[in-house]
Amino acid sequence: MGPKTSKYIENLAGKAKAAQVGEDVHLMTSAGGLVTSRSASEIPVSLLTSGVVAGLLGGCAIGKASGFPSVITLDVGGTSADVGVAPDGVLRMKHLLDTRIGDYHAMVPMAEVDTIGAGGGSIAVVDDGGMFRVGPGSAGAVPGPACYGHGGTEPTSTDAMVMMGWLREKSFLSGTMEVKPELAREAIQTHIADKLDTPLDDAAMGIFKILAHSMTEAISLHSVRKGYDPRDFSLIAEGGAGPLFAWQIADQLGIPRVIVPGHPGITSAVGLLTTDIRYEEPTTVWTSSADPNIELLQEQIERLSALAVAQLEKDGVAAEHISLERSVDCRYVGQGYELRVAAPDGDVDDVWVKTVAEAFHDVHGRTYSQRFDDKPVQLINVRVTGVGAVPHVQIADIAVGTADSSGAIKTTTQALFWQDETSAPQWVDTPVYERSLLLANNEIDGPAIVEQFDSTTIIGMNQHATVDAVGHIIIERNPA
Amino acid sequence: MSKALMPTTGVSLAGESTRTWNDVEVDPITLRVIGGALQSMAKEMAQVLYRMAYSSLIRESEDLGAGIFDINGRELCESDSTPMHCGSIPAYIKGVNRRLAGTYKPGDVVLHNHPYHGAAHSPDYGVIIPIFWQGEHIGFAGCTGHVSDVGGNFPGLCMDVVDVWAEGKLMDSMKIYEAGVRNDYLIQHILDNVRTPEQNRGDLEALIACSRIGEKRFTELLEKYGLDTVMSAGERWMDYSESMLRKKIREIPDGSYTAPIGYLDDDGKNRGEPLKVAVRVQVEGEDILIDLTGSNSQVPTAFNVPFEGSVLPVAVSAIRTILLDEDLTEEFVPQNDGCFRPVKAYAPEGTIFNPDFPASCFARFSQVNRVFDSINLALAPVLPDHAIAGSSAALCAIAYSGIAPDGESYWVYIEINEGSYGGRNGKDGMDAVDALMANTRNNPIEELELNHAMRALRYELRDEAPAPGKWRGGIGSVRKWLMETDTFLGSEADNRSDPPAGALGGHNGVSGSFTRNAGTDREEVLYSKVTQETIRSGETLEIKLPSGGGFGNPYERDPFQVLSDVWDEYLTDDDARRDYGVVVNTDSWTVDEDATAELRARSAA
Repeated sequence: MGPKTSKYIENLAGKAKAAQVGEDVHLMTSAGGLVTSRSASEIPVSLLTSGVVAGLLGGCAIGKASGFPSVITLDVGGTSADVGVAPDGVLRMKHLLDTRIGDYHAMVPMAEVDTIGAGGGSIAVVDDGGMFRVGPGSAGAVPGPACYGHGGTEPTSTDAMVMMGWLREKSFLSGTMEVKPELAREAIQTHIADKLDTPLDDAAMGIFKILAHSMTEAISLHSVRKGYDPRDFSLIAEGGAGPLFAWQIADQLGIPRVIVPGHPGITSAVGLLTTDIRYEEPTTVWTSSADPNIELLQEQIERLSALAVAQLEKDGVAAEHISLERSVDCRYVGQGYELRVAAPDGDVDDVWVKTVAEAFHDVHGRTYSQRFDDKPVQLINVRVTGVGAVPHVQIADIAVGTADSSGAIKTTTQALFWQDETSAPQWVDTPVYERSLLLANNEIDGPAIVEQFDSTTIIGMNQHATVDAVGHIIIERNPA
Repeated sequence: MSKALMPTTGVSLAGESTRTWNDVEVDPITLRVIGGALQSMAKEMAQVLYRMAYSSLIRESEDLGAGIFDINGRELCESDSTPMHCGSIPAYIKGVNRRLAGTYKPGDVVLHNHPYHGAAHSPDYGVIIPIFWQGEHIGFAGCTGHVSDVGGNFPGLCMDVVDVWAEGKLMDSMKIYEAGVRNDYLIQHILDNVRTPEQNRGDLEALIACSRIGEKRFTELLEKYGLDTVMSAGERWMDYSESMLRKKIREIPDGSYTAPIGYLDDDGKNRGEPLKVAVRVQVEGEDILIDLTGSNSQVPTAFNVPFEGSVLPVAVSAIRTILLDEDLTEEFVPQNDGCFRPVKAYAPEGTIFNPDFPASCFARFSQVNRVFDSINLALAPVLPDHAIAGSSAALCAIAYSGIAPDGESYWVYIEINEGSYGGRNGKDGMDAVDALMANTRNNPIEELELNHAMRALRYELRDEAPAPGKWRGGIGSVRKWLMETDTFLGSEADNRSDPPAGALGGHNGVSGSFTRNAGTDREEVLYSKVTQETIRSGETLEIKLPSGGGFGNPYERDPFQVLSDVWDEYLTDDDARRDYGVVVNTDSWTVDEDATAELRARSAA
């Protein structure tokens, strides 16, 4: 893999240069920073999972543009869903031992993102034991969902949403691809409703809810269970299918709002344009807060800082665009698993060590709901990250309108919705909005469907939405 | 202590189903959602435990278990970590209930490790927390983890000890918190009587945090769906797992399948007296009995096995692993009480698998892992696609210990050395991984060298050729450690006299060994089980783990795969010719097709 990737990058950079496209090709790393093509081809392993991380970064930029920096990102595609959590818009890094790709330890810096097998193509089954399951099996693009009419007979979550009226016959890719609702209906009837002896509507709702719940579990594992309260976050709906699921997931987790960016399908690309060149330089120090080796810490931080700066200078970053970030991996003496904390700038002294130890007690308390303030803290690794600022993409304002959004309604359709988690589904007249006609300040009452080329957004019953200055749709629950 | 004789038809781990709630209909969606929530809470419990833990066995080897149980100890969910721990907690709860049932209060935390009352063995501390709902006791959150030392005759591990009191301090259903009040004196007493008080203190806190998070998550689930719905959903999931397992058992032809008799090296004291392991698997309709009749009488050392806490979990685990292999089954069948129901085990009283109190039963892993291996070998003829050849079916645990530089405290380091798997139909055995029940991770060399006065001179695959087969056996590991201080050694290992068995025509594997000062004029081979041996500063210990047995006739192995093993220097060209009938041209390093065909035809004739 390595040599192939290196070669590919060298070719790409060479061709880009020949075509005079910018100065150099930059690539995203799994740690969420940019590297130059030179550095990427030297260490291709650093690129693993970078696309997923870009989605998280894109979500951070979108949250920030709407004024909500703490984000949970949900990027749903055809076969999988990526989940990321960034408190205050800051990525959390994985412990090195958790940087696995399949069964292999990658052992390179990686931002915390999780991928689960749940997407538009996830197949619903009633298994031999009578259990209703959705995913992780996927119909993929071929044969795809039953409603595509390409020979798929098993019902997928896309079929459920077609049946529920959320995805209309001509809504796929702005009508350039037609789907067949009767095939979706038939697949769900035969494979689910008949087997469970349940009404067709309930079966379709069930497919959606079960899949949404597996995403909820994944988000919960990365937020609540790491000590973060979802009520402090906004959920960014990304990918073609993210805006179909986000409304329900936010409701289940008590996340106060969903933010649907202008173009959910290209959020990862936005992420690529919102980050800086980053080089992380780690070293092991192995010293304790009870008897810290101040000299060693100072010396190593200076050495790492020089290394990071040298890397950036090699990439041609001007001194005024360079900044440094420090962090330390800590654990209680005797433990075997570290947690990372940010470390202050300035010279290392007793106060510096105390600040780091204090920060560790906090993180340990939040992560495991226990802290041991009397125990010495072991400082295992220090890291200095060199940041070379590059210009970022700006999310522009859109045209301003009023609360009245009726101008964007293109039609009304019958769609299946439910009041809350335990109530039965019902068919309701639902307005369908054209995304490109929405203006800032527009307000939408749920249930509603918003269609655009690369995605469809659902606003549930008991929810309403507003369009903010940069065109993001902000979905919130109606006050009780 | 008297006990009722076990029926020869065996007993199972399944709990009694006394209901304390109303059974209600649960719609398929809610059922699915509650099932997912149960699984992820067990997983979260295990994560908290191994990340917070101090004992390297818990945090590096993931030697732990965690889950949620009803008031009778019926398992609703359990983390999939070390199989040996899966299913041992219900027995802990039974043991605890026998003393404490009716006395639980919200805020209680119970510590238990009594091997004759459900514990897997005494170093596996169990922490059990009763869960209350609307003032009523409705279940338990519980977990177990292997701590570094329990204050027995010897540091870390023990073998040659007289009885269960000599192996470690016993804790039988002790409330270390009562109604939310911590009993600091009791905890102090426990820690004052072990060699690694600081580590055990940290592990105890981690175990408590783990069970508390389980209690919290389960209570949240009750708040959301109510007791009746959650417990009824739990019932459905148990029935589901049971029916999925029974369906697979029905696919095995009825019959009585006997494994070749296995022999364990010795009991750690009476050298040269091998111990018999007799395993018979009886399949009748959708029920399975693991019958250990004919196995050795109990021994006067720690090399006996607690029946409830260790034999039953291994029986269940082996059957579940063989039949519901996640790679071969589409559906994920969750671990819960339903998995216990179709599987029973029987071992006569007074044998190593069902010893009479107060025989010590500290060192039980090698025996039960051999039971797992034998179940595999017994079923191989009828389940050739599921069963595998013999693996390094023991546990190679070594406890290194010594006096710390302060001259007052001990350091104890327990390392699990990994062997390898036997070949399986369609694939070679896995190299250098722990086998069967011992699903433990290795400890990184860096961790070893940073924390202890030991240095790694060698850590790699063994030099000896793997066991020939159509699918060859896995290759065991070899370590060579240099001691930088005087070190005591205790070990619990096996597979010296009776190497992993080949299956369906595959060859037997390669035995393991411990050698002090290998390659010097002071070289000395040690027994597999040692008690308080000493390795002086500057001396070395070489640890070789068994290589697994081959599966199927090696003459049917794809010649290219044989060549590939020659390229990798696992085999010499002589090995290839002799064991596989493959002639390798050593000029071009290719297979001589004609010579190979001729050689193979000749030997087939």
